[in-house]
Amino acid sequence: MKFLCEQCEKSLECTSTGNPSSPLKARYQCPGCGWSIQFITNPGEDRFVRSMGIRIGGKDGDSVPFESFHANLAGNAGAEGAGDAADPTWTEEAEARLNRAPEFIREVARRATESFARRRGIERITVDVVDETRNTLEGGFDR
Amino acid sequence: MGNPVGVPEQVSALQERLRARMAAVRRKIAVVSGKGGVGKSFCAANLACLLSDLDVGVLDADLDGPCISRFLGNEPEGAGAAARGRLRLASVERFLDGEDNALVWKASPEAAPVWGGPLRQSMTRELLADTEWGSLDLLIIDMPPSADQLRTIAQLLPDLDGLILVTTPAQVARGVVSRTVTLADALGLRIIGLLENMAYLICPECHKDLPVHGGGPEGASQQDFILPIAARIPIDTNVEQSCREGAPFVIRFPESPAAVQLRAAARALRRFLDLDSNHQGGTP
Repeated sequence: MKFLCEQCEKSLECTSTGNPSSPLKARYQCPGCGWSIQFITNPGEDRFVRSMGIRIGGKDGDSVPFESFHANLAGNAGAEGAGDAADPTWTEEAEARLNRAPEFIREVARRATESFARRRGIERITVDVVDETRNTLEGGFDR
Repeated sequence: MGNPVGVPEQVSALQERLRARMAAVRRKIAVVSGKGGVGKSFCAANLACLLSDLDVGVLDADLDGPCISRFLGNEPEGAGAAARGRLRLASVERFLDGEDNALVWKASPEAAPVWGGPLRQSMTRELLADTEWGSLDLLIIDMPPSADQLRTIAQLLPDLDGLILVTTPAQVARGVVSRTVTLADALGLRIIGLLENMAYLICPECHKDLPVHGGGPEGASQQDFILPIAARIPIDTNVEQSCREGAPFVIRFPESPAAVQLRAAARALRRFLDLDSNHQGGTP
């Protein structure tokens, strides 16, 4: 990308770039009259370019193997925010209630209940929490 | 400001890194279907095992549902390719801690439809280019169900030797696979084989073939399939057992009818790709 100073008819020179993390800032200055502009990139466009393995602001070091994985994968705790809370514990009664479910569905039902509890900040899953999970799921998306 | 390099140079460098890595790979095939659950990973893993006297690499290109390590009896370990004998595996599983984890991005998912596609392509490219495969006779790419990834592989590997399609006799699977054939044709990719998985069930009582997904070409000879690599692989309930025991099916149950079919397919693949010529024997 090049910019021209209309007054001097000289190409502006890139004199500085901000931290090459999103959003990128760059300053261009006319070598004749000293007139300058700055532009700031759109964060979404930055991410799009980065997703192709391109480092905005140029590469000034050796490529890192599996850079996309290291740069873009969230921690292994799962979805953003999902892993912030500790895993809720189950009361014996709640476990027994879960074990009444058919075997094939038990594991998914367990995780759905734990997810429900985490979203509500519940640390201990009781029979009531299991039933509430079930009722919420039965109620559909409007609940 | 360091020593910045422009976008064209960066793109060239990425392409060159992939080209250099793949230059040491003699043959490359992709196992595809376009439909999930038909047994691509099972077929790809067992073909790789049956050819593992050669230097064979396996890329699990399914970023969201990687599972080929289960069929290889290969637990995820460390970054990069896990050498298992002469079989090398690269999978996104190496970056996920535990079986329950999935690809979850650091960035807000709001604009993911825009950058998600290019990012997946970058990840697939890195699995190919950054894995230390060494010198390979054959690289088998186990494709995800999404046909979109076929475009990615076609773009990344213009010298792909061919596709092996996996289907089941179910009409719905055949329909989707038929679309994949159309896409492959549009992308200029050559279909070299068809594996009909779960083709029938052998009755444990009377040992007759039961066409659980519908009829098949009973009595068809190898020539009738037209394609150089073809097999009808029966359902075998021992597949699950071999996964649980951490042993590849064809190694654990070598005399089973399914293993016999897979061996025939592996032999045909070996012949078709001329894998035995110029094979020097690699480093274990």
